[in-house]
Amino acid sequence: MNVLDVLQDALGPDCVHEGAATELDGTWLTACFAPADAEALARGLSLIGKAAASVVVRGGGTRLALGNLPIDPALVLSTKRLAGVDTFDPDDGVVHAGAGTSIAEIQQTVRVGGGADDAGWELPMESASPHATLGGLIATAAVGPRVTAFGPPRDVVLGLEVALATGERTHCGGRVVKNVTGYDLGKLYTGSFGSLGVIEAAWLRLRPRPKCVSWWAAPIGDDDAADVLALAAARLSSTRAAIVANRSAARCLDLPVSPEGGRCLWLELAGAPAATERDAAWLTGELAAESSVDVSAEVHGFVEEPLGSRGIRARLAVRSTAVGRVSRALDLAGFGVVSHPGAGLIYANRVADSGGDMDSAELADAIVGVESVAAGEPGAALRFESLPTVAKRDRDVFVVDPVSAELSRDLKHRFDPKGVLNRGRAPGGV
Amino acid sequence: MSATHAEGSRAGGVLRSLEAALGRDACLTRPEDLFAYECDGLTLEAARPMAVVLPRRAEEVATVVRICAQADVPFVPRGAGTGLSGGARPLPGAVLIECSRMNRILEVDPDDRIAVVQPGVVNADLTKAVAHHGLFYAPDPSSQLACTIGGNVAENSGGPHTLKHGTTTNHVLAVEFVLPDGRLTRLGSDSGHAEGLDLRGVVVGSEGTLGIVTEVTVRLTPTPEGVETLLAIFPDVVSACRTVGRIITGGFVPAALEILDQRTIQAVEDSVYAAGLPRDAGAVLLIELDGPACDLPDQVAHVRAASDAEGADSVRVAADDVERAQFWMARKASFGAMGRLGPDLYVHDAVVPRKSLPEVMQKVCEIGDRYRLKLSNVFHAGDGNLHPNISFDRRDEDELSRVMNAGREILETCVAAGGVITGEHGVGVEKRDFMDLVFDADDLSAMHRLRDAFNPAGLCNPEKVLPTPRFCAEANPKARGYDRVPFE
Repeated sequence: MNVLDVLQDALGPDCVHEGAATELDGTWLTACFAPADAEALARGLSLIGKAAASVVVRGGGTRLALGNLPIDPALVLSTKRLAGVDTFDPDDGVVHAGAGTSIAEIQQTVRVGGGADDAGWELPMESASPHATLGGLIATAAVGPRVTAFGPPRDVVLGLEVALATGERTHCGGRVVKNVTGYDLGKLYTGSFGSLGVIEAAWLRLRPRPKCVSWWAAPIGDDDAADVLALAAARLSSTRAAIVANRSAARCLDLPVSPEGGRCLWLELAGAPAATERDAAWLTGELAAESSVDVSAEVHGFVEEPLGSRGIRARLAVRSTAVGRVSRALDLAGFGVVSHPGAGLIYANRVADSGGDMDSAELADAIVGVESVAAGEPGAALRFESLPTVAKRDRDVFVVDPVSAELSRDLKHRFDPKGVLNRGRAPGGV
Repeated sequence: MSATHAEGSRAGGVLRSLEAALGRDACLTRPEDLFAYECDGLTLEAARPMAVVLPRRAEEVATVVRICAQADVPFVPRGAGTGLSGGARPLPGAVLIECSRMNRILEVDPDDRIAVVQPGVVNADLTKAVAHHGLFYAPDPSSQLACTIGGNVAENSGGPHTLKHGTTTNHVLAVEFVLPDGRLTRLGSDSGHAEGLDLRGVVVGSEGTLGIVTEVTVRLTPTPEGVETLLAIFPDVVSACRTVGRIITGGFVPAALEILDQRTIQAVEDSVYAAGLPRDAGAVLLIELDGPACDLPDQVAHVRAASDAEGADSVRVAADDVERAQFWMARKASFGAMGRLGPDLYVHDAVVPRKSLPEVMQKVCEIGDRYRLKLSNVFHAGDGNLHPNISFDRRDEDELSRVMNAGREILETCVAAGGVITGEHGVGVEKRDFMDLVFDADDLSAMHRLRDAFNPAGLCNPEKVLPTPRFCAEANPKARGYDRVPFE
């Protein structure tokens, strides 16, 4: 019996199907296991392990391109049916939802209810796509343009329910906002790219929804003084998003570029009326900022869209004061650059000059360009978020130090001894 | 050679190696020197280590760990010893690694808002050192005048301002770390966005059982532009708790929300820390708001309205820093004031969903009454983090037994309300055997897998956090000779 038959026999015919293919770095998967609930998920994982098969875990599929080459996956494990917001507590500002729930649905649910003037709550997580799921964002530790205020998912997750590859259903953390009961396994699973367990559901901490929101844009120069101003703007008390784009990126984003050249800064201010008004006055006074539209969707799309064989995208994480300098170095190396100064994050895109597939010389030049910029910045963290398949064959897209890689492999072996989950895809090649 | 003689020979060899590596002035072996290290703040749990070493550098910590690993000797890290769950309680035959000599602030970068510190730096000293840059280190446990950053990392310490500013895990960007095999490594990154598994994240709060922190890179927070501190007096604890709920849903996050009950108020007012609180008040709610000065008037108005809606007898706003300090004095002195109520104090620590506070507080008080105990309450109401405090005399065996039984019942009550057994003190030895109130066997198995990946030989701070009897097959066979002080 193949693994699909085993799953069907044990869990019913509606949990498996052959259909629309999922393509992953040249590997095409048409078989899909979609458990109806968490119990079926756990049982299914156990059966898959016994069948010595491996799965690629998929939520909305919006970040599947991020990761190392998969090793012999047999089927997709879809979390889409593990969906739904089952608890929203507007008095405590927490929500519990299944891993397959879209971020959009959670946002809509928590907007209403609770608070003075019905201010409501917001989930401090975001995605470029309406299909992105909670489990996927947690598993990939995804951040977006509002990372300056939201922080990463590790700061939002209060508790997780996780099905291990060995079939056990476990939980860690809980619904309370302060908790040191045992090891913080939530931190381990968040950003583990589904290599240690499959998230069933999560407890999340909400933020009060701001009463006033406005967007601002300002052209800024290409020098140190401009970097200082951009960072100061990112650190205003009501800044929720701070985005700097170079000309190349702004052109790709189809966003207005200053005729003077240089870069463009976009800021979202969000908060109480008095503070946002005061910060807006600072922006107009210090930066000659003007009112703008919300550009978060365009920017987020730019840094999430898989480039396939057309080019590469790298993400560098550096100290805040280095963002400008590193961004300019990447600009000189021919990259479209989007950065979040307050968060220390830089996204660098380079696509083929021809507009088609990147040839091997261009590809090597682009990779070396990024690596040399990263090497020149002490403490920089580097990953390749989008890389042609051919370039993934001899590298780990996540640049991880040897000791951490060794610990990761050990953890992988302990949590998933048969390599059921996302074999080969996670950092360290685990 | 007898087993005892072999054991003594092995211990002697370890001690000679430690002295050779660190120098005799960094190794304590005399009983009168070891006495002070037999326990941390949980004085009910004590044991004498084989030796205490005081390294000055990360390389010395690594050397000590290698010596212990090669000799199969357990080792226990310790900061200032202010922990309240026995996390730094040694074992007989173990080496205690005390990090207080590693107390330098190595770097402060005000532009990047980070600091790099050794683990022995005192929490409050870090804030003092960066204050002139308009920055502070946000996690502020009540013991911050004594506790160390390394200890804070081990326990994921919080404090009154956790509600708005988060706990230690939200402020640690990277750690330099000695693994239990003696290798020195760095986890995390200066930006806080490291690649790979969040190993930094699992180390924070691991209670010194995965390795030893030798350097910490922390995020510094800008000093708030404006601060308002209010003191609201209530006829009872329940109305104070309900006020907390109204404040939380006000569309902003207060910096701190602390409640003291009547027994605590009276203990404080009867002590040298008297703060002028009304002795007949049922409860006091301390509220701190911080942020842009222009936002604070509306927030103050909301707090007043919330307090009035729940029947507050009065609401005062601190007129200046002197009055603000006076408001906080009662809160910060409360544990010290309880010394008048009994020679021993059991400071409990549990968390419940905030909206459950009124109901749980009533049950906690009922438990205290039923067990005929002097139970008072101080708690971080904004987080749902309770601290029922029981004053007693451990020499009274019957009272001690009632204290322990009441403690278990309090934890069961909190868990039944959707809470957990510790919000900031950690599990240590104190709550190791209560972990099954929150986690089942599979949950604990997952935690064992994590611990075993870092600490396969089980020599690093053994017998903490995870219950051992249930996992006999996985229990550390090297840790032996320890006779538990019975908890009940």
